[in-house]
Amino acid sequence: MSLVLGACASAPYEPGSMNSVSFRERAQTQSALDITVSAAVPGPEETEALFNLPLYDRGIQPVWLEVRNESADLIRYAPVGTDPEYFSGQEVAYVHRSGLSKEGMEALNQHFYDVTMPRRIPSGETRSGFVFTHAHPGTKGFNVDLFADTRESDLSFTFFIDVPGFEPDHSEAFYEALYPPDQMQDLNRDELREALANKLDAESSLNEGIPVNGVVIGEGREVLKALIRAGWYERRRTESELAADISTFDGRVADVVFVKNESTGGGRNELRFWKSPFLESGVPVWMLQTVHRIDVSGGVLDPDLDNAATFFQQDIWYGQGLARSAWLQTEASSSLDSPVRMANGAEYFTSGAVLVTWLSGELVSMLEVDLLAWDPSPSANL
Amino acid sequence: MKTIKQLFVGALWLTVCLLCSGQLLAQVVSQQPAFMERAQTQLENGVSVTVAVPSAAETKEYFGLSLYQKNVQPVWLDVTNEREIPVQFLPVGLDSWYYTPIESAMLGAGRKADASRVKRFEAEGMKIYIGPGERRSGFIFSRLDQGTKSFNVDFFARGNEHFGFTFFVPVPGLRMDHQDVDWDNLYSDEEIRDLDQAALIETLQQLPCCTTDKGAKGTGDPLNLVVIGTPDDVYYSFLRAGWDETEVISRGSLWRMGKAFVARSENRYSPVSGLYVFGRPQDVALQKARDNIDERNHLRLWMSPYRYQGKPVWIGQISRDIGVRLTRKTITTHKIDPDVDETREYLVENLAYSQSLWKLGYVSGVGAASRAEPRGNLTGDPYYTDGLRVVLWVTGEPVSFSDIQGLDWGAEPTR
Repeated sequence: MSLVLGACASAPYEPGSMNSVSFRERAQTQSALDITVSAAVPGPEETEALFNLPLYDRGIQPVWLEVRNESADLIRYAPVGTDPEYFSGQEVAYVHRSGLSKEGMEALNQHFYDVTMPRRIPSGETRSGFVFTHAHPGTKGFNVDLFADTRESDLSFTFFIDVPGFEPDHSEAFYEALYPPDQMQDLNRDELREALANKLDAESSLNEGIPVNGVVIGEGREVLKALIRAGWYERRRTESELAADISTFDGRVADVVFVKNESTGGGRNELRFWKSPFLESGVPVWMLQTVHRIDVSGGVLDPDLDNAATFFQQDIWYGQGLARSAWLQTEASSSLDSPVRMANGAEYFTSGAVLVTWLSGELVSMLEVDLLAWDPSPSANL
Repeated sequence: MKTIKQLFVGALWLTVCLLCSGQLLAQVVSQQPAFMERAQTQLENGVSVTVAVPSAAETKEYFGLSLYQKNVQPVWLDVTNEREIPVQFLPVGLDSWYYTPIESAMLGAGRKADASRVKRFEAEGMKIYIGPGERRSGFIFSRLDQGTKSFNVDFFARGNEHFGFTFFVPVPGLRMDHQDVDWDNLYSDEEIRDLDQAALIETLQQLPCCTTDKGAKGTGDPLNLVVIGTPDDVYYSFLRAGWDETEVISRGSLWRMGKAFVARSENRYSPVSGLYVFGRPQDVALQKARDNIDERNHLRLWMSPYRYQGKPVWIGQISRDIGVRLTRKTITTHKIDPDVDETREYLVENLAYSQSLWKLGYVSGVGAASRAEPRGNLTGDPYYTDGLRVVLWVTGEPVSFSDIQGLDWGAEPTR
């Protein structure tokens, strides 16, 4: 249909100029090992001004990158690390071709060829351009993975960039203010195991919603790198969701929510994180609630919480973000036969096994995962 | 506790069967479902795995629900762990978006899936932990494959051991698309040639630039891939990286693709047309679905008579579909991304991030075509390229990023 229209159309294509839009003033820059990466993300209106096309309307969000390579190696940028299913430049051009003349289409193709971020950055040179990612609401979190032939200078940078029109749920100051320093407990691994078991048992009687069924250990940035690489993204909550969220830890609703698979029709997985008052040898410990929602009638809670935890463990394992894992048995157990019914009528059941994961921002081979022999996995008891 | 649970589950299962089918208990117990007669078994590392896949009708008979209509395909697994340590089965390796048992019950029966049905599904779900000396069986509910069911069964054992099996299970009523190529006899012993590195590079540079049509005429898509690995390595690694087998084109498949085109829905198994190298159509055709049918990657591989370090050398092509357009020859065809090098580089990263890539290098052989003077494939799509082939060593064993080796074979893309 659009081909027919396209044949009759005669519009030229004229992109906006890079300097006409000021989004790069918000660029963030990071550097390590003689490599400097800058990144910026234009919002919907800025994008339309830049390309003269409404990319966001098709779910496409451009991310601008500039890589300066002052190392001795040729380095390779891998767009798959930024978005596993990124759009190619020519693909973005093709879906926006309708209404253009033949010359207009050629100008469109040429422009997207020219502005696409190249993969290879030779020693001593700088390259810049756009990678076209899937648009998700909220702060744009993404990795810029760079590989060198010598393999010693592989680097992964993680960016979190506020996009005009979106606000994150919380600032860094929020997390820092949650617990005064004298309430923080820095523990070794055995102490942590005991403290977690006690805390989770105590919390289970206070929480009227879905219980915490996981623990994540890692610096916030490392955890986020691992999540982004595995395809999770932050989802900002609406006021009504916050009001309805009865799951609590230390008397508060979750600090941050991540989701996956929302658009695939296969249901949705959600992660809720709470900062905890624990550290393991100085590394932050986060409480995690992982649930799966079934894609019927607008989303129904899958009552089997063990299943959701098991999925998360494997998902992050295959995503090369899992460094270590253990199961911790808590007292609160329920079963398919006698589930827990919450105030909103939804039901869940759990063996009481809590998934404890140590996440890594650096890539971890599947073979390097350290499985600790704490308590049996939930499946072992069946 | 364990025994009570097991007894309960067993009793429940039988009760549900009675309620669902109205058959006598004795009949239910004595009859083995027909699909189990097609079961396949493999043994490795002290773990024996038997799998079977019920057809649409068998699934409906067994579970009382038309799960296939909801895109849910049960895979039955029976695992015996003869080792002295526990092993963990990883369902994500079978299907990264597998359905949970309760989800399958609800998708099949609607939100009002009654409690007994939900319990039945939960009880029938495969458990992931298999203790030493234990035997476990159950179902994984996967996304529907429109043809031979090809999948990996992955295990992890303490001591950092990861091992997997690849199965190809024909399912009655669905098109048999997996080509059971007799790999060992594809070439005679006289035709097989073991090459050293220098001879391999020279040979790869001289292989044809492009695919042809059936009559060995025309120049089709550029042969920009070389893969080194056994057939098992190839299937295991590409399945792990999210690739699926495809259907060969037929009237039925065209109809399904047409419907998917109209509905803009994801059809993981849209057919590919046959392209020719070595006088025959592809030995392996794979595709990776994205958000909808317009956005697909597909690749074809042909096993060559060449061997390097004992492993078969394959030649192939990859392209990214960016839309469907009408053509005179085949009614509809996919518009490919003209920047074929971009698609080639995507594959390198896709395999590396899936821990399937061991070594890579580049050789010439395709012949460069510039943006200003692009070449065309058999359906008239233009493409441009730096003229290089990527050489990919794939492996069934997971390879971490830091172990991937880049080889300098005298050619390297610049973009």
